[in-house]
This record gives sequence, structure tokens and C-alpha cells, in this order.
Amino acid sequence: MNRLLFVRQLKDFFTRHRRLILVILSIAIFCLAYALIIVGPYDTYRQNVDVMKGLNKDIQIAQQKLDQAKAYSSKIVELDASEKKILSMAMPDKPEYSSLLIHLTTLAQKAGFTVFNMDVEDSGATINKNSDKRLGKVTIKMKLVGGDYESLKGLVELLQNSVMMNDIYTISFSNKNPLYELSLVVYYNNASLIKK
Amino acid sequence: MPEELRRAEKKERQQIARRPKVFEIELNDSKKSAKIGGSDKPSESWWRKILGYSDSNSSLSPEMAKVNVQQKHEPVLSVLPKSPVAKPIQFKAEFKQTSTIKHHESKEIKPPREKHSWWSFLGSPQSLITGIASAKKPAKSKTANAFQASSDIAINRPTKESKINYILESGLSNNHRPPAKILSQREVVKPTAKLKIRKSPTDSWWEIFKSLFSPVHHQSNKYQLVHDREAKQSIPSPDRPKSHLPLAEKPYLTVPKPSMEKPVMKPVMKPIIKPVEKKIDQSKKSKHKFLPAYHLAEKVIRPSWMGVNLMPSDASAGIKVSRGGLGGVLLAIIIPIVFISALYGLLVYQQLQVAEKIKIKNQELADLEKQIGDYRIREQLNNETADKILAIKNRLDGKFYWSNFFDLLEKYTLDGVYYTNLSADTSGQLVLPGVASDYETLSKQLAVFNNATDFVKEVKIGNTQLYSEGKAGVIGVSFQLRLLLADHVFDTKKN
Repeated sequence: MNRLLFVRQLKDFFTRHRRLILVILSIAIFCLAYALIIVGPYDTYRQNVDVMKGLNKDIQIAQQKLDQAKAYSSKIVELDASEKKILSMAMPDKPEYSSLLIHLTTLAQKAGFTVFNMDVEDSGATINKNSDKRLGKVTIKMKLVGGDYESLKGLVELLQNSVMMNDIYTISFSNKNPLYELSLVVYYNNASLIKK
Repeated sequence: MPEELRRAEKKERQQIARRPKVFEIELNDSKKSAKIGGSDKPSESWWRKILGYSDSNSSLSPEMAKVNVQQKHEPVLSVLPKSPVAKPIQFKAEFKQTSTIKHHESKEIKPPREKHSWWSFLGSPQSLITGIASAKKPAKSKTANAFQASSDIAINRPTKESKINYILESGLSNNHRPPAKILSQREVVKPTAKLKIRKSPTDSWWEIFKSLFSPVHHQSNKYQLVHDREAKQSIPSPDRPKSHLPLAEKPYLTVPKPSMEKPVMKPVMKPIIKPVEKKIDQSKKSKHKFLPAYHLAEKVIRPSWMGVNLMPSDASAGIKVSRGGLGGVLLAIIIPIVFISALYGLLVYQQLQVAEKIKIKNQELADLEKQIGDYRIREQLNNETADKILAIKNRLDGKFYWSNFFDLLEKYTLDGVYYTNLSADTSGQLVLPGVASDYETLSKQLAVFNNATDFVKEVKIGNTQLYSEGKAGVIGVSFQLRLLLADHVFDTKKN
């Protein structure tokens, strides 16, 4: 009977506060369902929205870069193969010793000398503070024989007009000893070596 | 003559105006009676029709309603003793509102006059649940009694046939008075008996108002409708078998006759006596139509098995859940679920849309990056080439042109002077040993170098002495020049 009485009281309570109980029940179910069902997908949705916003920004930046690249590329002057070869000969990307030897001996022979001695040393980009660090330097000391003053002037002229970038630092000779000594520097592109 | 005629006509009119006005109404004529008396049904409001509450007559069980209908059509014939003379009588009713008719009850029961106001379309005020009005209001004043009586009348409004019953009984009371047993039973069963419903203290106006919006529980303990009580009465009692009851003595047949007890206006009715031959003919005709078939088996009214509740009242009261409450709970559960489901669906839809957009945007970004990458490779190659060209240009600008040095040295060297050794570098300091033919030539050479500003900035001479060779003897003057070359000697390229 007590149980029945309790049930009846419960029913009376429910009857009296039915609307309030139903509203609370609805809100509770809504909150529970929101926490269990909606929160996870909603977070994912918000993350995706943020990702989409980031993508939009990236696309905008990329579009700007592309426009700039297109505008820049319109100003680029394309070089042909011979020009590129000349450039590589003028300033090779690395010290090409073999081609250097061939080139110097050829010029000496053209001037009337014979290369008696040649000393090649890679100085890198640390010769002095004022020099350009992007340029690598190869120091070459040559001892020439078989020529005279005119031959020396010819050789100096050939080296000055050579495609290979070089500078003569010292020249010494004596009329008692027919030996001409030249000290020169040959350059190469050190920036390519730094990148590698 | 015309004046005499006019006077006579005027007198006639005055006499007609002085005469008492008497209206003759034939009650058996359905069309005329309908016109005079109006509708027999009590005015029902629209909300009563919508909510399904029926009046006292309609609240009866189907069986009772059927019996009532039967009673309406043939009430007198079932009650009155069989008399061939009484059946075909036509009545003439004269309504005389004179002072001679004095009925105390009629004054008390007189219904309140209808007010024609804007809310009158709702109908007369009648309680939805029979019994509340009478059970609720105690008889405090005369007006209250009158109003209660009017409500009773409103519930059990007399029909035309019931009026006829009353007229027949009153008019034929001298000749064919029904047995005292029947009349006493009619008096015992009053229409107010069905209003014996206790009003609980919780029956406030709010409860009544709430009941408008909730279904009526006919099995409720609070309110008992007429048909419930009638159903209980229809169960045969053991001490009095039902089959012995005559049809007229059955209680439900005597219930809807409130007009017999409290008539509003008691009309004076006079029977129209017609020749006997015609009455006999009419009685023969009407026998087959209206007389009850006594030789047939009596219709047994059984209680509806739907109304039987085998559970104890306490238990059923505890377990019962009203439909409204259950519906409300279901609604309270379903509405948030539906809302959440809709929200979830919308979220999933939006998620799919966003995912699709992200996919498209990723593809677009990849295409852009590919295009930019191509341009980047070109740009990098171009930049490397440009850097190389720039380095070459810089190197050419700082190149040492030794040919210019040799040209200037030859230019500013006099005849009779030659150099025995040359050791030069790009620093601009130069030691130049040589041999001049004599001192005069050496001084001239010094003067030339001093004047050669484009070649030499500073000239110093040292170790000047006579130079001799073994067999040739003295051939000149040796010297050693220290030259500080000008700044742009090695810079300017030979044209």
C-alpha cells in the first residue's frame, strides 16, 4: 500500500508540476544530446572552417605570388646555349683545373712562351676582406721561358682579353735570366658551391 | 353615405381592437408547432459541440437514447391505458397570459430573460459536466434557486412530446387517470436525481477551465454522468427481476420529464372533440404505427463490458497514466530529439559542404603552387645567371690591365735608358732598376717621370753609379727608380 501511495503521490506531483517537469526534461535531454552528439561534430566543423579560412588565405597569397612571378617572368631575357656556354667558361661554377691548365698553356704558346712551371692553389673566397665572397679564387704561379719582352706583352694582352676571368697580380723578369714569372688569379662562381 | 360607411368601418375596427386576442395552435401539426415553439433542442454553443460534451439527453447511453426517441414518438401511448378513444385526439392549445393562471412554481422557475449581447452566440451558459452546477451552488437565495431551476430546465428542456404527455395526463385525468403506482414512480424519479454529484473542494473554476482542454474521464470518481448512473441502474437487482417490470415503470423512461414538475408556462389546452367514427378510423391507422409490440421480447439493456474494471480502484488509480501526461512526456522527449536530430543533420550537411569546399580549395592551391613552382625554378635559374653576370661585370670593372702599364712605361722612357729587371705588382709601388747612358740622360728621365702625372705620382732614385762591363769598360750610369704609380694605371683598358 505504501508503494501504491507513493505512486499516487508521485502521480499527483507529476500532475501538478507537469509542464515544469516536461520543460526540465526537454532541456535535460537537449543538453545531454548536445553534449553527446553535437559537440564532437561541431568542433570538427569549426576546425574545418578554420582550415578553409587558412586555405583561402594561402590561395590568396599564392595567387599574388603567381601574379608577381608572371610579371617577373615577362621581364626575363632567355639566353641561348652559346651564351650560356660562354658564361660557364667565364665563370665556372667550380674550379675546373683541367680546362684551366689547357687554357693557360694554350695562351702561353700563342704568346711564344713555354710553360716551365705552374703552381695552382685554390684560395677560395678568403683572400682578403674586400673581395667578393661570391667569387672563388684560384691562384696560379707560372714560370715561362722561351720568350722575350714582346712575348710577355703578348701574353698579358691575351690574358686580358681571355673569356676566363683572371687578374695578373705580379710580373717579374730579368734580362740576365730569360725566365718570366707571372702570378695571376682565376675566378669561379663560389655562390653555387655555397648553395650546394 | 360615404361618411356613414366610414363611421361604421371605424367602429368595426375599434370593436376588433377591443376583442381579446386568441391564437389557436394545433400541436400535432409538426410544421406549425415548429414555427411557434421554435426548436425543442436546447441551444448548444459551438465549443460544446467541438469538445463533445452532450446535454442531458445526449449524454445517455445509446440504448437509453433509443428508448428516449421511442418515448418521444410514442410516450403517451406507452403510458396511458389502451383506449381507442384517446389515441387519435387532436389538441388545441390556447395561450392566455391572464392573471387567472397563477402557478407559484412557474414564477420561481421562470428562466432568466435572454440578453441579446455580442456574446450571445455562445449560447446559454450551461455547465459542461452535468451535476456541477447543481452540486456546486447551495440554495442561498430565491434568485439562486430560480437560476438553478433554470439550469435544470436548460439541461432537461421539455420537448414537444413531453408537453403533450403532460397535457394528456392533465387533460384526461378525469377519465383515464393512470395508476397511482406509475405516477408515484414518476414523482420519485426527478431530474435533479442525476445531479447528485459531490463536489470536491478542489473543483475550482480553474479545474473547470482546465477540463475544457483535457478529455473527460467518464470513469472518474468525481463526476458521474447520467448514463453511468443509468447503466448501474440497468443492472437487474436480485430482489426485483427485470422481466416483471412494465415498460413504463422503467426508470429511464421517466427521467427526462422535467416539464411535468416545473413548467414555465402552463398553457390551457382544450381537446378538440371530433366525431367518433373518424377517431376509430384514425386509431386503426395509428395502431400499426405507434403502438408498442407487447408480444415481442423485451429489449434487454446490458451494461457495456467496456466499463468493467477488474482492478481494485486503489491500484488502478496508482497505475493509471493519463493520455495527456503520457503524450506530454513523449512530446518532451521527442521534441528535443527531433531538434537535436535536425541540428545534427544540418551539422553533417554543413560538414560535408565544408569538406567538399576544402577539397576544392586544396586542389586549387596545389595547382597554383605548381604554377608558382615552375615560375620559381625559372626565377632561380634566372637569378643565378643574373648573379653570375653581375659578378662578371663587377670583376671586369676591377680588372687590372697590365698592357696600359707597359704602354705608359715605354712612353715615358727616354732613349739611352733601359731596364735590367722588372718586378711589379698591383699595389702601385714599383722598383725599376736600369742603366742610363750618362747623368744628363738620367736627369732628363727623372724629369720626365716627374712630369708624367698620369703614370707616376712619386719618383725616387737611388744607387746611382757608373756602370761598367768587363771588356767594354764604363758604358753608362746605373740607377734604381722607386715609382709610386698613379691610381688608374691598371684600370684603364687600352683602346
